[in-house]
Amino acid sequence: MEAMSGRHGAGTPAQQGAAALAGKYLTFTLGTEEYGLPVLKVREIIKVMDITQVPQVPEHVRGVINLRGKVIPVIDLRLKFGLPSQEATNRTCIIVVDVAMVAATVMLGVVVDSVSEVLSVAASEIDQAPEFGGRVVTDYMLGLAKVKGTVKILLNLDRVLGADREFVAH
Amino acid sequence: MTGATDWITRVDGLLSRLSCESLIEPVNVERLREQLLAAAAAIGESDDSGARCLADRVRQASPAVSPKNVDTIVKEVLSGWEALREGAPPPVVQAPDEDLAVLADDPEMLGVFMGEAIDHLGTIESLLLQVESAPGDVKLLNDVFRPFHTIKGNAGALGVTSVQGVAHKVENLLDLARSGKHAMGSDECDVVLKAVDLLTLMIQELPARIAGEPFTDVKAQCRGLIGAVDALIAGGGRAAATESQAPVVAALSEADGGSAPQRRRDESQSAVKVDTRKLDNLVDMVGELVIAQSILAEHPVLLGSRDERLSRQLAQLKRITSELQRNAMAMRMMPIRPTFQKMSRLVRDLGKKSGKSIELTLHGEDTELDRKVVEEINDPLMHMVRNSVDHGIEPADVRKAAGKPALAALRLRAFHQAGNIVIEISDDGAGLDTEKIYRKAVAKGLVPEGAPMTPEDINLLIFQPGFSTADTVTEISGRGVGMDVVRRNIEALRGRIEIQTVRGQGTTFAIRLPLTLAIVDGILVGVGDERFVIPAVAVNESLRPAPGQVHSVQGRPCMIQVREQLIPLMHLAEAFGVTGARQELGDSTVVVIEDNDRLIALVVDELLGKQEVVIKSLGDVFGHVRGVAGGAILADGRIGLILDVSGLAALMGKSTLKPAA
Amino acid sequence: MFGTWTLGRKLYAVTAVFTVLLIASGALSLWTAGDLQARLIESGRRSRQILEANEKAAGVTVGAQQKVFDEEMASAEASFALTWWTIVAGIALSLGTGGVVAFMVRGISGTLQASVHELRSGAEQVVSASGQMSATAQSLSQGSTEQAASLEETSASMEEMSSMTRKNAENAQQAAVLVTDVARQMTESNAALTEMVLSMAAMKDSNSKVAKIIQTIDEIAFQTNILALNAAVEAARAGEAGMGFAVVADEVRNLAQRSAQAAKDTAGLIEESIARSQEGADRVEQVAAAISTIAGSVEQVNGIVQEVREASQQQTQGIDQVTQAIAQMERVTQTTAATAEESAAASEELNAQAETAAAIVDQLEALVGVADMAAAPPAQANDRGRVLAMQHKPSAKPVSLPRSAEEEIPLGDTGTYGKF
Repeated sequence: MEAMSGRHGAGTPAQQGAAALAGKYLTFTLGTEEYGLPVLKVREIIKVMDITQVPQVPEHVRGVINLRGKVIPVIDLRLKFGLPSQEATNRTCIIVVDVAMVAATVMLGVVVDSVSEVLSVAASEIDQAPEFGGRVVTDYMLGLAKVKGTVKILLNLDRVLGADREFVAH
Repeated sequence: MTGATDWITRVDGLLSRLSCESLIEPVNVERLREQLLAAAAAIGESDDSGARCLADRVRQASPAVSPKNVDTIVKEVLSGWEALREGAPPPVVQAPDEDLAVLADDPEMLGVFMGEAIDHLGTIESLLLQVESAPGDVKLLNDVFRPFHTIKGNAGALGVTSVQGVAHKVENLLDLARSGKHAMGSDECDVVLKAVDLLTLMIQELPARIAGEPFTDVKAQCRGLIGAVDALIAGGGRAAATESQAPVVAALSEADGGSAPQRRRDESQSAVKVDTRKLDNLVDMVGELVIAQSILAEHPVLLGSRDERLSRQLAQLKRITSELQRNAMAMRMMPIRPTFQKMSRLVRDLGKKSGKSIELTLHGEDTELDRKVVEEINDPLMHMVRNSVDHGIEPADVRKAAGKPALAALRLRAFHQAGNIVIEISDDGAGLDTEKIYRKAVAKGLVPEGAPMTPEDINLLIFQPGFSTADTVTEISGRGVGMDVVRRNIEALRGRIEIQTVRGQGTTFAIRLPLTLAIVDGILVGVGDERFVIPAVAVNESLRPAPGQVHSVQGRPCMIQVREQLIPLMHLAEAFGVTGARQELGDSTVVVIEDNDRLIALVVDELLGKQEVVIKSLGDVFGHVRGVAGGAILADGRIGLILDVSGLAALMGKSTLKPAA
Repeated sequence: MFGTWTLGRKLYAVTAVFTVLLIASGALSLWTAGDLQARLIESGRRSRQILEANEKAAGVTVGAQQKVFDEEMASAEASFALTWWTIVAGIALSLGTGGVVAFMVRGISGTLQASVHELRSGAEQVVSASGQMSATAQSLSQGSTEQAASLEETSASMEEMSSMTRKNAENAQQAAVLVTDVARQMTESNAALTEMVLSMAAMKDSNSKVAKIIQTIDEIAFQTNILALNAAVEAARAGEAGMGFAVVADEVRNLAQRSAQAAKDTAGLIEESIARSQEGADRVEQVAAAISTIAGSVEQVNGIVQEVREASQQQTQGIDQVTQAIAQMERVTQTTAATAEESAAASEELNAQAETAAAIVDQLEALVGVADMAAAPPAQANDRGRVLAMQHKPSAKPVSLPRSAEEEIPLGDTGTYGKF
């Protein structure tokens, strides 16, 4: 809540914010919700594969995978957002993204239920994230996009995952 | 006087060498040493009769020696003598102004220039140490001159005038030397070495200067160096006299004397500079290839095939991939020679500083190891050499009292042993004072009073943080930092240190390192759905626990008895939160691993085999994870975690301490 | 009037008369006796023949009487011869020695009386024996006739039975043919069903394969989709330069999605088809099982029918044999009946002869006058007329035969005998 009011307090006009957010997003689903990731953050999309667990990490850190010889960490966005975990289906994908963490930009994988499309979002379609109150953390959101009658939550992954230098279990 | 000391050290080293090789009888060597010292004392006198007398003695003492070797020594003795008699007034030179605009505009060019220059300087340094032993070798001098010339040219072209200036000056000196107009004595070498150091520093700081960050002001040093060179050149008139003396001198450092020619041959081969990251990538990809090949080889369809040709081709593929991997690895391998040569420089400098005459012998400089290991081993090795010179080797008077030759022997040796690289540092010093170490450890509270410890355990205490037995803190060592860092660094390289010491006769530190950091020879174990790789080095044995072997505490199996020894059990599944592991201990397998003589019985589901794996870092985000050294891509393309044995031990310590606290 | 007279007196009286008459009658008797004798001998011979025949046919009781008869006949012949001579002597004597004769007659008539007496009892015995014989022959004839009739009936029944059995066998044969035909058809339809089941299974198999292919297509579509998304991401990262590429990626993605949709639809169809073919296969299998059961039953029926056929054949053979036996029995019975009739006829004739003989004996008695002289002459006159009549028609129906014989013989004439 404070973050929200702080952002409003900064006095950024909604129009300007929306203009800055306009662009291409890779959309994906988690349960019934649809999310969008700035496409420039996305490296690639891969099918879900066997994930090797790593000890002493938070629950939402599923482990590491072998991405063509590179070892990259994998995050389960469902668990990160407090949704119930779900067995991988044949639509489950891993989106490989660049996330600016404290120390450096890290390539990591994000497990999502399914990947939808690359969507151009115009400034007119973007709303600032409203204040939901309660436990919904709007800090992760860049905004809300209303495209083709559906609302897509535009995510700020740096905020979602970049908070820690390391994935330390609490 | 430092020149004299150097000379004496060198000649003494030669004598020891001859003695070692049974070319001269030890009694005679002792006598020769005494004469040598006497000769050294007479250096002040402008009379070379002492030296000549010494040379004669050498000839007489070694009738069995092949004349060539003796000649070498004699020449060394005489030329050293000659050189010592030269005086060197310090030269003064102004450092020119410079313009870094060109480099600032082109960071890539800067990188190339720096890389090349540093490489050249390294070459120069190692060559100079040879020049010191063979001052008249024109070929050697040419080899030293050329890189200097290149650096000068490049620096000039890029506008790094300060570097250009220094390089130019030294080039002048070397030019004189190679044309026989100036003899390369110890002083000259010193000056050139100093120039190398200075240039290295200047070049390494170039990015900082370009970025406008603070950097070392080397102007005074530049001036001093240029002055020194000028002075040497000015006094170089009598160099011609020595010119005819030294046509070709065999290298001293290698026992077989063949390394110098070898080195030259190497240089004659063409080489390509490759970015190390590219090299690492290549090795990674080759690792992938090897894994892909093994996946293919294990494929049930291919295994079931009876096609002769297919299996032949698969075998061929396997041969090629493993050869490729070996070659790729070899590309990252480099000889330990530069590191060792840095050590000779260090010993030379340390000896001068501490006033101890030390002869350093190097063995196996051509032993190759992973580039990364070579880089990483430098600091620990330096610490240990320093430690040996400072603590191990006694001052000359003490040595004399102990009946040892004043010239202390320090030996660096590198060799392969059972898939490892072993680097040994041996001195003939006092050896470790086990009693003193124990007392000190007790005093510092590192060990409880009266704790029963074996001498080996006590000796290992010197690797404890904050431990120093030196009574006086010297400039070189004794501040209580060093050995613990050494051990940490070496363990980070998955190596280990062993100590062998005999009181009064010397100490040998042996560093055991893996050939490469990229590959670890591991035991693959399965726990639940996960697989882990335990470095084979750390594995003592593995066994199926019999019911009588396991001892429970509070209903939980905690210890296992293996041949009268109780070893704490660690359930890997529990420690790492792996689900689906076998519940019955009787169905599991216990792998006994060792960390610093501490044993842990690791409980896993099953042993899956022995496998070489390419180590991959898990990345910084998992930096805090303990007990995991990295990841390895296994034959099925999945990642298996490589266990870090000391990390596991620490985890265990934490968990076992908890109930007590 | 003559009844009151003694034999002597009568004789005497008569002798006188008689002597006259005797001379006349002597001459007549001489002629008549010759004939009688011849006839008697003939009759005796005949009786003897009958008796022999009777004995041959029936083999019963005749032997003794025959013996007696023979003896009687012999004595009768002898007596006739004596009588002949007596008559001749009497005529001669009567002429010469009337008185003496009259006296002597007394003695002679005693002897004669005894002989006649004996003759009479012999004749009576012959009559009774021949009567008995006739009765026996008749009952024998009757029994044979009855037996023949029942044999006829049996034979007819057998005939009927044989024909029925034959028909039965024929039916069994026909049934066997039909059943075999059914069994063959069953086997054929079973084979057809098996083939059908196999092709159903093959259909199912290929359906599964198609389903797998569809799955692969779906997988490829999914991967293409990801690839297209990756391309879109790359294109987006490339900014302006990637615009064209983005369009291509989008198109590829559309194709991938359409392909996925098509795969999904096909997969649905295939699944349905799999379910249906499974259902069909199940049903066919049920039918096959039923047919298999039926085929088994048909096989059993076939076996039974075969057995019935064989049994019928054997039965027919048996019946034929029985019919043959009956025919033989019939033949034998007919022969027997014929013989019995002949025997009956012969014994009747014998009886008639015996009666005749008895009548002669009566006449003789009366002649002799042993017992009742007065009553005898009228009887003799009557008897003589009859004898004469009999002499004229010896094979004609004897009127004087007892009623029983008269009534019985026609029965045999009209019934049984006609058949032979």
